[in-house]
Amino acid sequence: MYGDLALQLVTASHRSTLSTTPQLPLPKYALPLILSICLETRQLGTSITSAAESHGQVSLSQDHALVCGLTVQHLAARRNKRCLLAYLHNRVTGIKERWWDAGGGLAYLNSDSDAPDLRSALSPQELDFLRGYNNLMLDYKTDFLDVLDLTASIERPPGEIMVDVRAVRDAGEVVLEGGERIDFRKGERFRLARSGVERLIVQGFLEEV
Amino acid sequence: MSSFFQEPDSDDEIPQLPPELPPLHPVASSSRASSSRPSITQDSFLSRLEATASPRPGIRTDHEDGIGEEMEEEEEEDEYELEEGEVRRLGKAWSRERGTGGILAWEGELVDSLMDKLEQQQKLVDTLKSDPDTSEEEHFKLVLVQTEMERVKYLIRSYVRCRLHKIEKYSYHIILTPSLHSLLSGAELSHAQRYTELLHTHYSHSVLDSLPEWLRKMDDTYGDGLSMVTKPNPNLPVLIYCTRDCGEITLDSGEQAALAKGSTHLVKYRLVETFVLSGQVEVL
Repeated sequence: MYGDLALQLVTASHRSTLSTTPQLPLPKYALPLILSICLETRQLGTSITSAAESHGQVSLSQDHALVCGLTVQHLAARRNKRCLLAYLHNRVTGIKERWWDAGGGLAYLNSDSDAPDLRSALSPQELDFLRGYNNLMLDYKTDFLDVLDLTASIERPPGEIMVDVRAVRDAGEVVLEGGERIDFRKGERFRLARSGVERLIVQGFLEEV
Repeated sequence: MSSFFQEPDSDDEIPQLPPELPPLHPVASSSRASSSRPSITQDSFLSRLEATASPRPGIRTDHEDGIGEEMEEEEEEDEYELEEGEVRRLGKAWSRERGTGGILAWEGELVDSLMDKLEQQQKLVDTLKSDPDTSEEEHFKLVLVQTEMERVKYLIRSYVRCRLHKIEKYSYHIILTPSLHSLLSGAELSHAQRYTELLHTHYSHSVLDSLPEWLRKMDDTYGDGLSMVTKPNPNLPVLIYCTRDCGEITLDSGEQAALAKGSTHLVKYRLVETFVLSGQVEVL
């Protein structure tokens, strides 16, 4: 049946909350399915065009079976397009969410260090999108950067300015706001200004105690 | 009034000094009173802040707007129809932005002026922090000031990001509707444009280019009247608090509902949009 594949694509994407839950790995881009949906849509397109060409304007209004068939094909093609875009949109939302969750660190998202290996789950086009989005946001946030970092967490309003942290893994030497240098080695504990180390907490190098 | 501030949501998020701080304060000063320095009153601290950092004349007022007014406001909470501080105004703008689905005007002046003040405040704090004459008590007060600054920063950040989220969601609609352009800041408008381009390029490269030509458009309307351009839904409910009497509105069922001063309602945004924009009601 026309549209079965597209239905399969959207139901899978709708049922799984994976793509919008940043803690879980993003499902792999369903390339084979998408290609076959595109193929189906193209075939529908050709069949509609050739049918319309071989019959003239006159017979279209008289031949009910033909009109009916064309309508069905037409609707199926449109529906396919809609399903494809819904799938992509859902993933774009998930990708953006992951970007924000990582505090806007593209390099961090792309690194293989972490379990959710985003890079391999994305299509080349999505990688381009992510890079483009990153540039866009960099441009936007430079206006604010003198005073505040837009990409810091907004989960809850800050209560204290200092925070106790423990280094979860080696982060090497980091230069903090006031020019201090700190060598974060795994297992060590520090008491630091939250605003300075917020990003390291977000990216999982440090852990609040 | 009291009902407004006891809303569980807004209580914690409205940026005032954290509620636990005022009781801490006397304790701290009494414990420090035993130290060799005489305890210093609020006023002299303010004047010290001023004295340390001012060859510049404007600083005193700026400082008062930023933090001094906050402290006064804490006391005057009950009569909050009085002149509103900028932080409070941003707080309202922020909850309005978060509570409604539509695109609202960008509070550019407010954000800019707060950002300027934050920057100056940061300089003051830095100067005082490195000044060896600063007493322990003053250091304690500096911590309060810094905490307050962090909270204001949080507010701006959250406000800006909430707007960005909406703008990205409705970016194509914004581009297609010139009347909305005046509501956005320049940076936001260009962000909307570039984001739309980026998104459409992504869609085209991913699937649309391999579809038949008549299916490649991004602004189609489907047979059931559903458009590809996402628009804000004016029927989403908003929770509002009336700061003054707003007369009556007619609900969809034909019933009349009075928006009396001090009452809280959950209604469709479409019905109260004019009141929200004019500031007669607050969004919670």
